[in-house]
Amino acid sequence: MRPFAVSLITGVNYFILFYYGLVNLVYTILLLVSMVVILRYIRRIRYSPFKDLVTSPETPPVSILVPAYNEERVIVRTVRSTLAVNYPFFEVIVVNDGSADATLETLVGTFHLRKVDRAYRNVLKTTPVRGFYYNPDVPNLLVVDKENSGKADSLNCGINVSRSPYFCTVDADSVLEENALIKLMTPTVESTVPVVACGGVIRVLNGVHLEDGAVRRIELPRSGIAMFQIVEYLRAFLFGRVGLDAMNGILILSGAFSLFRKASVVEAGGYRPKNVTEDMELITRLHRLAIERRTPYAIKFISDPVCWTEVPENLKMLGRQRRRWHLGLMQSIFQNRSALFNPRYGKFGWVVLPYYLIVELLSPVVEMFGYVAVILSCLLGMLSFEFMLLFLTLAIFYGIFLSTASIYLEEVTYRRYPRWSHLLRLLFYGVIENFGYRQINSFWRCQAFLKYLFGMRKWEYVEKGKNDMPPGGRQS
Amino acid sequence: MFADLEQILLAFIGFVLLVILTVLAATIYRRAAALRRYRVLDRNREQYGKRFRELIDEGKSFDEFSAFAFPSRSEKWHAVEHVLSGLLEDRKYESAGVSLFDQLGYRSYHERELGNRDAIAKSSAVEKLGRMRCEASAGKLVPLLDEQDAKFVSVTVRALSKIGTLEALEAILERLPELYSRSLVTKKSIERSLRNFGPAAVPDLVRHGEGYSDPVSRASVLEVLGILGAPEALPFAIRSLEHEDSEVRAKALKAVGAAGRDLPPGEKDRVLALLDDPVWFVRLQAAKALGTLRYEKAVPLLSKRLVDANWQVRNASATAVVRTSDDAIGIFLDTLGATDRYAKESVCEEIQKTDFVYRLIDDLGSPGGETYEKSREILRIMVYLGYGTPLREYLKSGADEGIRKELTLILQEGMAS
Repeated sequence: MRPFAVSLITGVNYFILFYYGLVNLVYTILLLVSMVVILRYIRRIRYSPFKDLVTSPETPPVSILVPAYNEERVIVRTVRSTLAVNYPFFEVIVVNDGSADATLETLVGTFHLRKVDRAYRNVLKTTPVRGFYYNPDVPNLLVVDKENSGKADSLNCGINVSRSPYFCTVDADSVLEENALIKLMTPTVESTVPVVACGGVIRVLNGVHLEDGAVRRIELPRSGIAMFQIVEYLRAFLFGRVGLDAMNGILILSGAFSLFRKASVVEAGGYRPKNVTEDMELITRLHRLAIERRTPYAIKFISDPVCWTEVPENLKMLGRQRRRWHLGLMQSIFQNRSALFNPRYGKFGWVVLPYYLIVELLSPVVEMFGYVAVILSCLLGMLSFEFMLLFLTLAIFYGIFLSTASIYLEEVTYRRYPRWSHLLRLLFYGVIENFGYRQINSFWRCQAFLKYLFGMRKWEYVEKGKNDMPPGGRQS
Repeated sequence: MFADLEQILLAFIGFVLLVILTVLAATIYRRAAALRRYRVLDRNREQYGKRFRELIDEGKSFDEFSAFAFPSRSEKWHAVEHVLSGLLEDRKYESAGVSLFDQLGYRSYHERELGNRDAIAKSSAVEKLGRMRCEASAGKLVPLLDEQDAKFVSVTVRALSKIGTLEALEAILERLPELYSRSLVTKKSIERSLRNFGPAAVPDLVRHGEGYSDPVSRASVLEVLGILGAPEALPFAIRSLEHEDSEVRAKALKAVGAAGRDLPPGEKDRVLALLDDPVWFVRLQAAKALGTLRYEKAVPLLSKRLVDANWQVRNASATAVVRTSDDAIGIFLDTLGATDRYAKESVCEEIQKTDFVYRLIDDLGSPGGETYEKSREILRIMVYLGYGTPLREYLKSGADEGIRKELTLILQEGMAS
C-alpha cells in the first residue's frame, strides 16, 4: 500500500508543480500584455472623441437599467448618480423587483412619481408588471414595479421596457462617474466591428465620500476586508480583464456596469434567470451566438470608465459572494462545454474557455489539494520541511508580486487614490493579503465547487457595505 | 535531488523578491515624480495663464510673447500648451490663441511629429493640430486620410473638421465612398465631423451628395443636411425621396422635415406618399417630417399609421396628428372604435404620452357639445382598456368639481363595460 501511496503523492506533487508554473506563466503574460495595452490606452485617451460625443446628436441613445431589490437605503443615491451622467440621450429605468422594504415608496416620494399606464410587451418573458411610475418633470426616469423573481428577470423586464438600441446595467448599490457612460460608448461608436457588449472598471465605494449621488472625495475604507478587495479589484480589472480583452476573450463583464447592444441580447434570448451570475452566462452566450452565425463582433473591456460599488465588509457576506461568483463561473463553463476545445469555435473554444476552466475555475481546487498533498509528503518523508517552506514562500512571494504590480499599474495610469497614505496602505494590503486572505478565498471557491457537485445552486443574498445615506440626503 | 531543487527554488525566490522590491520602489518613485511634476505644471499654468491674458488685453506684439518659447516637451512648454488650449475655449482670446500656437512653434513641432513612426504619437499630433485649428496644417493632414489604420483615419477626419476649411471638407467628401467601402471610418464619426463644418458646408455637401452613386455616402450627407436644417439642400433632399435605397429615403425625409416648412403642397405630397413605404424606418421619418411640416392633408393617412405594426411609427404618427389636426379627438375615437385590442392599447398609450389625455379631461368641463361627447367616449374606452390612471389621479387632486363627477361616472361605466 505504502509504495502506491508514495507514487500517487509523488505524481500529485509533480502535477501541482507543473500547474503552479503554468498558471503563473499565464498570469505573467497577462500582466505584461495589460501593461502594454493600458499604457497605450492612456496615451490614446488624449485624442479620444468622447468629449465630442457628449454634444453630438449622432450618439446612440442608451437605457440605464437599475434592478433593485430591498435597496431603500441606497436607491436614491444611485438614481441621482445615473441621472447626473454626462450623456446626450439616455433614460433611467429602475426595476423594483417586488422589494419587501420601502424601495418603491422612497423613489415615488423623492422624485414625485405618478402611476401611469404603459403597454408592456413581454418579448423576453418575465413575471407580471404591477405598475409604471413617471414624472414629466424628470422625463428620463421610469420606475417599473414588478413581482419578485430575481435580478435576471428584472433585467429582462428592463430590456422589454427600454426603447434604446443600447442598454447599460447598473447595480442599485453603485455610483457612476460623470463621464463613465460616454467613455463606455466611445469604442462602440468608433469601432468598425459591431461591439455587442462593453464593460468598465468597478472600484470599491466603501470609504468614498459622496455628495448628491456623485463621488466628491476618494478615501480608503477602515475595514481591512474592504481594503483587501480594493487590491483584488485592481488586480482583476487592471491586468486580468485588460489582458483578456486584447484577444477578444472577455467572458466576465461586471453586471454592476456593462453596456449591451439590445438587438444582440434579445436575439440571444436575454438573461437566464436560473444562472446565479446571469451577466457571465449572457456574455458566454453572446460569444457563441456570434461565432455560430459567423458574424464579426467584439466584446470590449475599457479600463477607464469607472463605476463605484459597495463591497461586503464581513467574512460571512464576502464568502457568500465569492461562492456565488465561482458557482456562476462553473455554470457558465459547463453549460457551454460543447464549445470547449471545439475547432468550430476557434480561439473561443481553444483559448478563452480553457483559460477560464483551467486557470480560473480549477485553481482553488488544485491549491487546496496541493496543501494536503504537500503536508502528506512531509509526513511520509518524501519532502523535507525546508523544501515545503521554500515552495510556500515562492508561492506567497509570487502572489505579492502580482498584487504590487497591479498597484504599480494603477499608479502609472489612473492614480485614483491621491494621498501618500492611500498608496502606502494599498501596498501594505497588497503584501499581507497573501497571508490568509487569498487562502480563505480559495476555500470559499472550493466550497462552491462542492455545492455545484451536490446540486446546491441557489443564489445567496449578500448584504454589502454601509456607505449609505438617508433618502434624498447628503453624504458629506 | 532535493538539494538541487531547493537551490533552484531559492534562486527563484531571490529573483521574485528583487522584482517585488523594484516594483515597490518604482511605485513610490512614480508617485513622488508625478506629484512634483503636477505641482510645477499647475504653478506654471496659473502664472502663464494670467500673464498671457494680460498681454493679449494690452494688445502686445508677438515679441512680448517670445519669452514663452520654451524647449519642446519641457515642463514649461507643456504648461504653455495647456494655457493656449484654454484660450481657445474663450471666444475673446480664441484668435490670439490660434496665432500663438503657430508663433511659439507648437504647429511646427506637431507637424514634425506627423512623420513619427509610432501610430499613437502621430495620432496625438493630428489631434493637436485639429484642436489648434491651424488652417495652414490642413494641407499636411489631408494625405493622411489615405492611410489604412481605421482609428488613425477617424482622428484625421475629426481634426480636419475642427480646422473647418473648405479644402478639408472637399478632401473628406472626395474620399467618403472609399472610406466607407474599406470600413476605415464609422458613419457616426463621419457625420459628427461633417456637422462641425457648419452651414457654410451645405453647397459642397449637396454637390458631392448628388454625385455619389454609393447609397451609404449619399445617406450620410443627407443626415448631416438634416441636422444642419439647410433650406438650400431641399431640392436635393426631395429628389432623394424616390431613391431605391431605404436609408437614403429615410435620411432625405429627415432633411425635408428639418427645413421644408414652406414647401408648396405638391412637394409635401411626395413626403405623404412615403407613409406607405414598405420599410418601417422610412414610414417613421415620414410621420416625423409630416408632424414638423404640419400638413393638414396628411391627417387621414397619419391616422391609419396610428395602428402601424411598428411602435415607433405609431408614436410619431400620434404626435403628428396632435400637432397637425384640430380634430385629433375624432381621429383617435375612430381608431379606438375600429381596431383590435393591441392597436387600441397603443393608441391609449400615445394619448397618455403626448399628454393629450389632459386635454380630453379638460373637455369634460364644457358638457353638451360634440367635443365633450367624443372626449367622454375616448376616456371611457381608455378606462375599459386599463388606461384609467390619469383619471384616478385627477380624482385625487383635480380642482374642478364638475369634471370630478364626470370622471367618477366614466370610471364606473368603463369598469362595468
